Amino acid sequence: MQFIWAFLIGGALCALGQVLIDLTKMTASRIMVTFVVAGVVLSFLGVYKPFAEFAGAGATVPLCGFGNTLYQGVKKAVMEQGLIGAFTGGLGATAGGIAAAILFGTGVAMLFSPKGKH
Amino acid sequence: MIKLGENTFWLSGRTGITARAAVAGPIEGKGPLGEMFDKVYKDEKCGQTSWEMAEGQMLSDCLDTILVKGGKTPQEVDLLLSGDLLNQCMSTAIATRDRNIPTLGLYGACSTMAESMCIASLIMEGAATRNIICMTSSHYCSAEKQFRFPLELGGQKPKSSQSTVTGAGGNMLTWDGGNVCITAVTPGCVRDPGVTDSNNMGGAMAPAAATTIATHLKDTSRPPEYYDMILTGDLGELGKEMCGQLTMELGYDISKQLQDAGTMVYAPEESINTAGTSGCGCSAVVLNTVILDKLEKGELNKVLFVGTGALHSPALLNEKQPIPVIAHAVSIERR
Amino acid sequence: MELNIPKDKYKKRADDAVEKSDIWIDMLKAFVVGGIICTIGQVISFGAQNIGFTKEQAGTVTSIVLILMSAVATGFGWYDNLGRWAGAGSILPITGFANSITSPAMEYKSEGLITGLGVKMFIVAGPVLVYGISASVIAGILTYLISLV
Repeated sequence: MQFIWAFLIGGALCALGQVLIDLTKMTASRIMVTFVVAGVVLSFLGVYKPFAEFAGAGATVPLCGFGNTLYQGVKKAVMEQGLIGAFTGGLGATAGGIAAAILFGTGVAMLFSPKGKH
Repeated sequence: MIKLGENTFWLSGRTGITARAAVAGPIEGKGPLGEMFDKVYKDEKCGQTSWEMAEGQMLSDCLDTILVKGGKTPQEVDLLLSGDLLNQCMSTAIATRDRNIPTLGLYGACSTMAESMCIASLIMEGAATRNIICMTSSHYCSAEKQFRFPLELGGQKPKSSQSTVTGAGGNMLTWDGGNVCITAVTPGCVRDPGVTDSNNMGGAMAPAAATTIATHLKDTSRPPEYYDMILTGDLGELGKEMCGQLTMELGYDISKQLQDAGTMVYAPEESINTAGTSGCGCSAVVLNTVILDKLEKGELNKVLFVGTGALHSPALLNEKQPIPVIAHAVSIERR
Repeated sequence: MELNIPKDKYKKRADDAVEKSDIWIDMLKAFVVGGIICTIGQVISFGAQNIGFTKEQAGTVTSIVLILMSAVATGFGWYDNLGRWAGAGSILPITGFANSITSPAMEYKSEGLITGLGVKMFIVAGPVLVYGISASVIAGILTYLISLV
């Protein structure tokens, strides 16, 4: 059942993004920024976490889930350490993904070169 | 040479095209012009390590071919006019370094082929020159890298977008040579039609092409029927249609003569998701293969070649400025 | 000779001439591909929990594995083809983030490992980190202030 929800919710979020792309001609960078910031805001408003518990990977894999992880990390750190947590919590919680993207991105780029059009 | 009407230079017609060359990448090689290219590269790296060097290599090979076909040594070439799309005209610099030919680098975006022929024929009329080479190049991969996104970035392209031609083309103009000559040139004015969509270059360039064509016809008092073909550079399907409409609004019906080089390079199955091709190489490879071939053989007698260019820069576009556009007309006729 | 068409009028005319892509088909493609990527994520997440990771750790493991898959697909030149078909379906999942880091790194490698690959790696994804992290810090400060009240 969880798989079906992941598929439906994840697909629906991507379809929503596609509507924004088609109607506003947003570039990839803009659409990604919009979703991450929306994730942070919705998480701050307390909406995203219950949504993510219900939708599983359907809510955490799209980039708004990255925004949610950022804020949940910040929130936890603020509760434990006070104001300094606002600065340390977000990157701490998302460090795995960011470090992986940097390492694998660098590794792959060293091994492969871009292909031409053909 | 006399100045005619608003913007046209009426030439003596003694400047002829004595050699021409075009080289292209693998996809272009599979297209309808495939057999006519002097060289088709197996892959888009052209034996080099980067896209910029690959484009330089194509332009360099194109220059070699022109010299060989024209039977001239570099010392016999008085001037080389060359330009491309890359920052600081990188390909031109790579192709012409250590050539010992006086070189003027040009930037007219995709109108460079027409721009170089305009300037060369004007110099020919006024100066003691014998041979001038005009050439230009573009490369899909180097253009994507500089103007758009990394090649491996996943994303969609609208159907109105055009695909940069991987290729280089050029020709040699010789005083009193050849059976195909340049009889008039109409350099265009930079226009700003207000279009901001970088995926609709054809629509952006159509007003420049239409005004240059109408100006040329008016200045020379030639009806559109004077020409067998009016060949625009890279308007694509959409831009070609708009150019026809706009020229009509300016009082000339060119629907029978209008052809666009941007619709001639790719095989139909390759162009299915685009509005056609673009880039400096687009009009350069079409003009220097099929069009000049037909002119030399007498299958065409009079062609108005209208190079179109979107003077598009990513920085200006990010600053919300519309895309400035330009078009230059070169009247090419059989003697 | 000049065209006597006002700029805003011509802009609209040029924009209207563009053949619009079918938004419903685009949405369907994005839905299917985005859904499949999220389902793969769910499989990885359950798998990670089964071998002893906590739920929170499993989320991180899912991200890392998806990012690895995307980086490799980008290297082989598959991800851009997927993106051409799927649009937002492959841009918005975390795999799109990885693709947007790997692809400029590959593209600019020719300009050097430091000055090319290293410098240009974030030309697409940089803003995601800039605005995502900034927003989270601001939200964290607000959370702190609210907790004081």
